[in-house]
Amino acid sequence: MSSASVFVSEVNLARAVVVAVRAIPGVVDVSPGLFAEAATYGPGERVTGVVVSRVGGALDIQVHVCARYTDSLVLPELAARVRIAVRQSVEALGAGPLALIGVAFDDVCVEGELSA
Amino acid sequence: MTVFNRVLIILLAIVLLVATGAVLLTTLGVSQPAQLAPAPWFADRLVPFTQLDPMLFDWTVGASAVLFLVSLALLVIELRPERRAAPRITLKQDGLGRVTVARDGVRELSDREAGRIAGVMSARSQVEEAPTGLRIQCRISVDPARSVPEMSQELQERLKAVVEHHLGLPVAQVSVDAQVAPLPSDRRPHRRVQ
Repeated sequence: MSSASVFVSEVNLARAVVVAVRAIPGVVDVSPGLFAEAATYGPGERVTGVVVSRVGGALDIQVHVCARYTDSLVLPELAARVRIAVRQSVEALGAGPLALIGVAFDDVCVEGELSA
Repeated sequence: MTVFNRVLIILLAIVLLVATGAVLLTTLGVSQPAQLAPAPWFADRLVPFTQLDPMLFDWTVGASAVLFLVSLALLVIELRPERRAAPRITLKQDGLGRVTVARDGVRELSDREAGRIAGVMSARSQVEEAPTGLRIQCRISVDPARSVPEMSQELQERLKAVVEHHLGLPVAQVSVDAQVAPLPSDRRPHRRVQ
């Protein structure tokens, strides 16, 4: 198998990462950011919750999430699952080398409060 | 210190700085009163400092220099930006980047856990990072029929255990401040993901 990467736009990559992160048990949703909007911008569109940028050809991905509050919640473990999901998304798209995967928990949400 | 007090001190420091600076320059003969003060009122006040006897000269220069430095120090202290707690707590930093959690999220987690303890009516927490671990200050409103020492001990143990479990960071200190009166509802509204 070739290890060469294909060019995938930042917005397309961000969209794939959002889908992957939302599917992780323990993640309620991606978060739009607390102090500044966390989003990836493309021509005429934006994807909130994930910031994809390229530094020297390598990808820098910052994911903002809202975690589901349960007794079993362990944020570092959830962050590790988010990183794995991001890495798998990038590899599935063949989008290129990954430099950084930052995870920011913007909120810890309780199930009852979410449905209220 | 309130904003009003702060503005007042800044204004006084500026006035003192200008006045003592002008007196110093005039006394030392560096400038003439008319050059320093376009307003005749202020220039007239500076004229006596142009012809001082040696004794008064020394006293004037010494006192003006001290006041000038004091006002300068006051101005610097008051204009220095306040140290604010970082809005995020770093859970982990490695070659892949940082994992952080919003400080408000940790506070709410702490408040929620405190509220689960029987006898705690409401809770407000503050979380700070220290070199040895997190420091949690929890203010609680309690049921007067319950034992406050027992409740406080349970709260300390629970908060330490829960925060360490959820965040994976050591908790160095949990301080509890209990009161019977209800807590003021001064916390800003919670932001939720839609």
